[in-house]
Amino acid sequence: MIGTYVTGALPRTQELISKTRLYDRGRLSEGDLDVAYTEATKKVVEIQENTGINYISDGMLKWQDLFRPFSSRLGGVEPGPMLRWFNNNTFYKAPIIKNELKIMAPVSDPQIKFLPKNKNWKVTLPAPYTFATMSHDSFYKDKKELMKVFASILNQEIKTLEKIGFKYIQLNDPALVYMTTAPQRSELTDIIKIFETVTEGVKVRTCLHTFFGDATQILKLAGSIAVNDIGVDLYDTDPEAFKGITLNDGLALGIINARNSIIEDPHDLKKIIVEIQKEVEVKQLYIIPNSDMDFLTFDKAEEKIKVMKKTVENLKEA
Amino acid sequence: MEKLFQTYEIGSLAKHNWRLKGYSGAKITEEDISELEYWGKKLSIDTNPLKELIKTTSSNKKQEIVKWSALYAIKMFEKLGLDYVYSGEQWREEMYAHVIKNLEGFLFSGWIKSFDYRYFRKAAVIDKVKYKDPYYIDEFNFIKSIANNKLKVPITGPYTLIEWSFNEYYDKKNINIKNLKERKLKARKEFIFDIVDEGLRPEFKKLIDAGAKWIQIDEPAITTHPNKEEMELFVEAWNRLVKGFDCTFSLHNCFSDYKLLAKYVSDLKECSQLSLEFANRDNKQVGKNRPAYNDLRDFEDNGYKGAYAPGFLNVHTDEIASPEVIRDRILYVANIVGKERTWVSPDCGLRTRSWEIAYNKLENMVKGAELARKIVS
Repeated sequence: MIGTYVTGALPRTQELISKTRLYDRGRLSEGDLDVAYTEATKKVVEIQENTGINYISDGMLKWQDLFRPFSSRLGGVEPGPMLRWFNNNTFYKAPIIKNELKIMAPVSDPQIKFLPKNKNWKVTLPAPYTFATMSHDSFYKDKKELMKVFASILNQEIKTLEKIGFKYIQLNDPALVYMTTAPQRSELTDIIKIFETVTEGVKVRTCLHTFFGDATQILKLAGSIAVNDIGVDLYDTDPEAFKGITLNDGLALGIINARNSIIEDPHDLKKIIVEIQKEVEVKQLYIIPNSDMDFLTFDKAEEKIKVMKKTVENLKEA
Repeated sequence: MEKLFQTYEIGSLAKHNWRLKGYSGAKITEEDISELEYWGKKLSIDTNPLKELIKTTSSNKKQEIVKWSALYAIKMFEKLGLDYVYSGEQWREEMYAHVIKNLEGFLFSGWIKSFDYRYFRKAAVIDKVKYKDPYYIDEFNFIKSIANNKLKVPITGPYTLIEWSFNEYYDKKNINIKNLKERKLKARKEFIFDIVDEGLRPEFKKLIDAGAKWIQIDEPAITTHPNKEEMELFVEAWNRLVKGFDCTFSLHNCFSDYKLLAKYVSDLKECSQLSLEFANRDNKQVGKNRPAYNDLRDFEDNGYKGAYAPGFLNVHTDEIASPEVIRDRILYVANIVGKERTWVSPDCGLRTRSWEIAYNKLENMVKGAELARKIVS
């Protein structure tokens, strides 16, 4: 089976960007900004539908960063200083953990009213290791403890999303593979065990998505991670890494470069994918962007989504 | 002995509505005129010629409005008593786009998110970079003609210019290199060296020939890729950029990995000062407990011999730090690096704050420097 979806946030449309800039300067009301969000969200959903994407998301247009819904809506944490988001010209507000983390209400608040009823819905959440690594914790003072607590919160959140009707939960874990934040090999086994808590009792499909770094070590352990799919950034992971690995179920290949405006050639992508397919047995293969696409303009992202679709078609024909 | 704890703003200020609308041709409201008059009065500027200008449709209206806007910035900085001043970047659309749109080889692709509701216009390099039009010299000549205080010219550095662009031309040029990592690095090297040689050095020569004594090279993007190859690329480009010029150069870098940067700054030739961003990381209380600034020791341990303006105002909040908090930050830093090597600036440009907030913040910064001066002398 070959499918496709977008990973995380899509770019805001240029119209929405103009409106958010006006709002930020006090020249647009909150109501008018909401209208602009509605229009843009409909557009990103429509593009996903039109390109036959398997799991549709709301594009996360309102998310200021991967953690903000959590740092704003959970008890015990608040958004803190602005820091660089890995190796990008993008910044996030580091969650400051001052007290016991408590889930007060559903956190991620996906815009379900815009999602098509007859399609499968997908949502993206931060994975425990990335959350713990990128936060400033003055309460637990123990990364493992913080990860454990956050994993339980994620589990509750995922079950809420499951009840609402979501079919695919992507857990973003760039810190797990990024050059300066990745754990030592000896620590990995303990760290990935945390996914057992995250997905305990969860029936919908889940994915550990790694990006901005080399996933070789994660792929070696893929069969023991309590998720269905593993997502890999092919712009930071050598294709050799797929040799001899065992997967639980699916592989999500981040082969569309979400950080460069060059539009890929579907035929070139197909060649690379076919080579990887020779190395590893995959029940479910997804052709995806390597990371969130909000490093691009909306138009470029749209073009790349079409390349994704074309690549899948080429693979299916083959 | 040179004055201790000299003060400056990093670069940018917000643009008034009359500047933005006057430039774009949009309708200027009574509220905009009130703002113009309020700041004119506060800064002792005769606003009548500006109000007349706004009503006209003269061919040079845009450029004249820009000059007025720069005049407002200079007057504000001088009224506040900053030792070094400049245009508040009123002349420039924004630090990246201003340079790129004046070079050949680029195509703008649209707005890209930086954080929250802040964006930057990102271009793709689609052809070899070439110098097209002067982009800093007119601003410098005008500022030189109106400023009373000394000048520090902020310019955007080559590493940031390449990092904030999509690299299409140089990447495609090296398509035959099959190893993607090698291809990327070679493409980036060719890109950055063309930016230095073709884009920046010709303008540096003009600035220095016209009398610029201090150029601050803004490089917010360095440490974006925390690996040896990229950091060495930044150092190589810096050294190539400043080579042979008789001028003082300093580096501004913010929201960055200072432990990493500290390992490389000693390799920068002619880098007399570092302007950094530590207030964002510091606590808000008066007192001697300021561990955020301890990372300055890494620069010292790595042998950096220049001065520091480590950032004493958080630019991403409207909260106004008191003069006493700023005093304590300054004294803490002076204890680490020495009072003679401590300069006073905000973390970054204040363009994300209103003029009222920027004014109040800078006013307290100047007061804080004065309080610190009294204590150490």
